[in-house]
Amino acid sequence: MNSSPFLTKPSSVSIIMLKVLLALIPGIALYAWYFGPAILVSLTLASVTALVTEAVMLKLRNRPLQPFLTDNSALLTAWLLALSIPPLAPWWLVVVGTMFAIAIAKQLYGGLGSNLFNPAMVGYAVLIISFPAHMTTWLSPLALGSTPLSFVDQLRYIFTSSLPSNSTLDAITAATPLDTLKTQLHLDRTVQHIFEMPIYGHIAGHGSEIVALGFLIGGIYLLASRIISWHLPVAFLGTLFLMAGIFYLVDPAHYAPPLFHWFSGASMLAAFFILTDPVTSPTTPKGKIIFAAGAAVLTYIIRVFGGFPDGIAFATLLMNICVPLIDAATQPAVFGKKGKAPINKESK
Amino acid sequence: MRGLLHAEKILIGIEDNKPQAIAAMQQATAQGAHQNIHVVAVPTIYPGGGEKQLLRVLTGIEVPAHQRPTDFGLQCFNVATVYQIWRALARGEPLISRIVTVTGNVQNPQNFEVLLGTPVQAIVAQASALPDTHSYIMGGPMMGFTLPSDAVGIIKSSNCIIAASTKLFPPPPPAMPCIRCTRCADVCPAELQPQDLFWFAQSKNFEQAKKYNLFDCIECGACNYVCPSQIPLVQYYRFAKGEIRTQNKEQANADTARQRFEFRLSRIEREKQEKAAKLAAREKPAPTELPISDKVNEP
Repeated sequence: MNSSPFLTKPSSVSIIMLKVLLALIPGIALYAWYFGPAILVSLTLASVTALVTEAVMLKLRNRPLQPFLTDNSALLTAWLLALSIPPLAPWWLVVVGTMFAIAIAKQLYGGLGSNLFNPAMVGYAVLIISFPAHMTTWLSPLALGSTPLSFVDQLRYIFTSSLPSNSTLDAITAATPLDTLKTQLHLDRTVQHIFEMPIYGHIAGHGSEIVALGFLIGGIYLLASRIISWHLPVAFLGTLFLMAGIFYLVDPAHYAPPLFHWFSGASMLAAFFILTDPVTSPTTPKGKIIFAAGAAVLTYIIRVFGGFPDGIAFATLLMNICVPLIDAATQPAVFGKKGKAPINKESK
Repeated sequence: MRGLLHAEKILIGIEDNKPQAIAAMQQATAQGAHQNIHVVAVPTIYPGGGEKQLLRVLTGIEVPAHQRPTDFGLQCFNVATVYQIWRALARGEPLISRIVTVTGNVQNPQNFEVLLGTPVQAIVAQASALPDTHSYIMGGPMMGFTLPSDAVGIIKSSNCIIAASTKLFPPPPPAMPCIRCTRCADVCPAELQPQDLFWFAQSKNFEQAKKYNLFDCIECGACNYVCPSQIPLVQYYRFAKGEIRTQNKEQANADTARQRFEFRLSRIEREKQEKAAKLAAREKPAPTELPISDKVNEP
């Protein structure tokens, strides 16, 4: 005899994850358009590695394979990680990062729903600490390279690290717009001067600003289809805008304008896809706002004053630690008890 | 009824997907004698028919768990209850029948006026239940309960009988882990955090579940319905509530037993002293006697 409710909505974790993957596609398509198809290779590599690692770990943990391999969560982790690392990175970089993300950050914590840290960001953190040189060699936009690589050349470089004879690594790669800004500022140039360099576009990096726009569009789809709530993206982008705005107003020669920060690095990806991972973010509306605002402040500080090219990963991981505390401290009032403590001090 | 309750204002809430009912009631209340009776269309959102949910929609007043609407000067009646009260007051008729909806896996879903005590099988036969019906649910699909047999009789609170089949209510797919997406919290009419309560119930952390207002849960099943991981949340809450009630009962029993035991000890002690006092009083004239040994006092 079963008990009520007898009806459930035909939804599933795998459909939710699939929609998030779909929302990434505009950004990915623009990425491939502006920087060449290498990103598709690293996405494929990461996906295969994630599924294989997940399967092995599930087997070791004596968990059923089918429901967890088809929940699409490992794929999402793989995609987010692949999008965070340079597309022309050697194949083993993607593989090591993804394996670490799935095996250590996800499965060893108990698998889907039990991980404290965002797996993709753990993978990124491991890579940037262990292989900083590989992690900062980004592709130049195709339009800017003197001798852009063909797809075959990109493939060959990813797997064998060999370039065609008429090309050098310097010719096809560059530091990110965020990184370049930081190094150039150290050379006593002003933001306005630096932005005249060819790697900059209208408001941020040439090409990468359009890719960020692609992620923004995907994010708006997620909001519209109610996969994510507005709290996280609005609080994150709002706080980032505020932080950047204050510094920019005080000293526009040495601090980039807020819109630059919105469309640089992984800001858009973080606002809609990384911070919004439900497992590792707070559950209460107030908590989500505190979490995202904290992540934005940390991101800005690490980006502008820290030594890493972007601050998203560490900001996310640091805020992940605070989630249980934030949740407990921001419990909303329950029905009929507005204005009273949401958590009973002594239970009846 | 209005006179009996001294009601200043009467609101009649009807779900906005029933425009005919709303129109009919508006027409009926438009006549002069019915001032201060308002027909209000309420949004058709489950569980809008719950007493406290309906009162909030109509009056904006939230009646907390463990309190009654009358504490706030409100009184809520079901339409069936009002009808029966009217029959009793106006016609002197006792409550011997009620209107029951028969629906689900039947050929002719419809409403019947059914005498109380009528077996379920008799009314589902009227509606022609389809052959693949495997059981019957008394109540709605969200909060009703499966009947152990179709020989069960209709009672005062049987508003609906649903013929259930595997096609109509397919068994939910196996539950996945909670991903804390908080769709449950978005729909909870008691404004609880179902994902936390689930976590506490699963880990048998009942103390914490109580602190997070587990007993404010009305078991409406909305969280269960929207859960993408298909977790049988309501069953977890029922389990936790049951365990806590059992614990409380055992605690109460233990307390009573301890009180009784302590009382018995003190009574024995008192009797001992009384006996000793009596004995002492009797033996006082003989001062050479030794103090009374314990053995004498053994009952």
